[in-house]
Amino acid sequence: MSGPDRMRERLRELGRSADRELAPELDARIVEHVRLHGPKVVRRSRQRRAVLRASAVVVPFALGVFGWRAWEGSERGEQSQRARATSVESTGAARVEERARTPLDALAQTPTSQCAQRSVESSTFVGSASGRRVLDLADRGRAVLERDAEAKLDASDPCRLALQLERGRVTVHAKNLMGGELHVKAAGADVVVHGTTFAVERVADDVTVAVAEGAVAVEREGRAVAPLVRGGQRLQVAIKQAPVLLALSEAETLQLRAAVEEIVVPQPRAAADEAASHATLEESVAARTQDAVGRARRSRSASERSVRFRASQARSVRFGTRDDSGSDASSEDSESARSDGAARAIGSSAWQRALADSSSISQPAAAPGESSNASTSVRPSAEPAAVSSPASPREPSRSEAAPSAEASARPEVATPAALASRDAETPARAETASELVARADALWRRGSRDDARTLYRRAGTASGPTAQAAWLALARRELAAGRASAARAALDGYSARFPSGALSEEAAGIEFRIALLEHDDALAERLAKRLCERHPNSPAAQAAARWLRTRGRTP
Amino acid sequence: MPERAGESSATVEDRQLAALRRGEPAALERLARAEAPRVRGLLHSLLGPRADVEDLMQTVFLETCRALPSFRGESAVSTFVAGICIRVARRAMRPSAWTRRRGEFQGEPRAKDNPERSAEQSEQLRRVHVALSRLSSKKRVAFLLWSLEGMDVRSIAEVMNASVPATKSRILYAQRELRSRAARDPYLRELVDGGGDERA
Repeated sequence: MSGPDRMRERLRELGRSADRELAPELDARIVEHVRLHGPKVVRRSRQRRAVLRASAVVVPFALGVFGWRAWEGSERGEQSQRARATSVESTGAARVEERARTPLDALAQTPTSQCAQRSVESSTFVGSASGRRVLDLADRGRAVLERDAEAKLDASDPCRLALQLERGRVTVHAKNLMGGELHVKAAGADVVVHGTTFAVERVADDVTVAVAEGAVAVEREGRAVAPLVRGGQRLQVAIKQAPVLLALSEAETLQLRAAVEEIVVPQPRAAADEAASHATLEESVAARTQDAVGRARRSRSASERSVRFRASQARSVRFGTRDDSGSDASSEDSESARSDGAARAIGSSAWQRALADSSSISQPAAAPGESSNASTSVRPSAEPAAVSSPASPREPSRSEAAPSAEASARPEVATPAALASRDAETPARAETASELVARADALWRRGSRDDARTLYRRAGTASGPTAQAAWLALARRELAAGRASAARAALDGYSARFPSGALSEEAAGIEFRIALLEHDDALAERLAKRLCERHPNSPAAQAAARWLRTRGRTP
Repeated sequence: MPERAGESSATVEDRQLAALRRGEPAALERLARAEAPRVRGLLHSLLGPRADVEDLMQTVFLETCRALPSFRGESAVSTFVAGICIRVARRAMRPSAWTRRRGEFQGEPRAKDNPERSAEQSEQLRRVHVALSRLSSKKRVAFLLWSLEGMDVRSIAEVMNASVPATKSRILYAQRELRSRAARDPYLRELVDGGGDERA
């Protein structure tokens, strides 16, 4: 037997020698304890096991149900959110559709369909050696070719106009692309118009894009060369050089806007007279420009800047001509030109701003219905218009200088000599109606609408077509802002101030639009019919007729 | 439980087991009477003479009653009870404040025909437990079951719910510990080496 075995044997003996007999009392106590309490313990243990077994099934099931409910709730929440979003979208879409069906949209028609419906003729344009040339882009905007510039307009796709700039500079004001696109291409660069006013200049293969208002995208070979060029920026694109984005100065911005401001369509006149009027008009333009610069310097408005309007450009400003370039304005222009309204100053305010006051150069027309193409017909015998031609035999134009906007009957803008003398005599004078309108336009665009309204009304207290136009400009502004009652109040102000004003046709058109905005179809119908009866050839009447036809009525 | 005519032992055992699971008082009493001596012996072997042996026995049977509903009869009832006894003994091996105060071993030498020898054996047993108290409970239990109870390794492994190799290594480790203590303790030397030299 090995050592461990012997140890084990000895230990076993040791264990056996110990008292192992169950003491009777101890045995009895243990047995009695088990007999009395054992069954109860066993039963409780069984119950506990049953509960645990059931819990093993119920608890996971409950957790699963709870989790499923929670997940379902979150899913439903998301679905409801999506449904709400969808409903909002659908509601929005329905609203959009509904709006599309509203008369206003019926007037405007859907952009996509409109761009397809209005075709533009492709052509090649060359800037005049003596000045600019205006290209009419079929109500979508206008492009102004600078001197000696050349561009080709590709309008094979009416919804995708492409202006190929061969040389020189073109300034574009895109008013309403009608859902289409407008591209200006130069030296491989593609300027895609996202709205508004910009200029593209090409010198050899270097292209400069300057944006006064809105944003344009510049691409090369289908790829954007820079982020969107926004208002107040200039992008210089050159071959083998990185594009450079710079800021436009205030002057450059104003010049851009001025380049596409409404240009007066003169009445047909004899060539000699025309040449003479042009010559003198240029002088007038130059003089007024200088006056405008001086007045701008003296302007009290903190927002007005002294802008040096280059005389060379001023001289090159041409009225929109009825030449064969097709640069004539829209039918509205023609209408305004043919109308008896002596001084239809709707566009005249723009003309005035373009020439008279430097600060007003920056006022492209923005109010709906206010056709920026509406131009002032400049006639020698015109009423005190934005610009009274120096060739006019009307001497009273000098005395018609309006030093104060508060004057009940005063000429708005005097001749250059009168202006100069006036300025010399009264360095600090009250603003003219045109100046007030120009400031009001600027304030409105900046968001200071209450101040703008005040200035419009102040301008409306003057006399003359600009004062009348101020009321209508305010009405259009309010209409564009969706404030029908305010627009109506502006119309009432016009009617009260000028009961037999020369702009009754425009006022009627605005009143019709107000009725549409208020969804007063009955009133709109009456106004539309009246408009068609009284001014059948006006653009407003044409729009009203279209609306009546959509409603199954005859104009 | 009386056997019925024609019943096999397996069937009897199944009926007994079912009765135990149901908590029938008679079946539980039979179980207590049959297992009480063995439980006491195990407790004695594993823990030595202790004054709280009755409490420990009550604890063993109480836990047995609690565990009966989950007993599937995969092993013998005695093995099932022995396993519970060993668990209780291992818990008791952790010295509590009470045993520290009173001392772990409260056993009294049993007077037999040779009281001197009985006292000596009791002292040896006490010293064995003292020497093994330094070990982990698993090693201690395995060795005591092997040495004092004379159980074989497989049975020890089954009762302790351990593998045979693990049980063997525990026993071997305990033997080594006992031998190392025996080098300094003549009582233990006698057990381990056989007491070659007479004590003075």
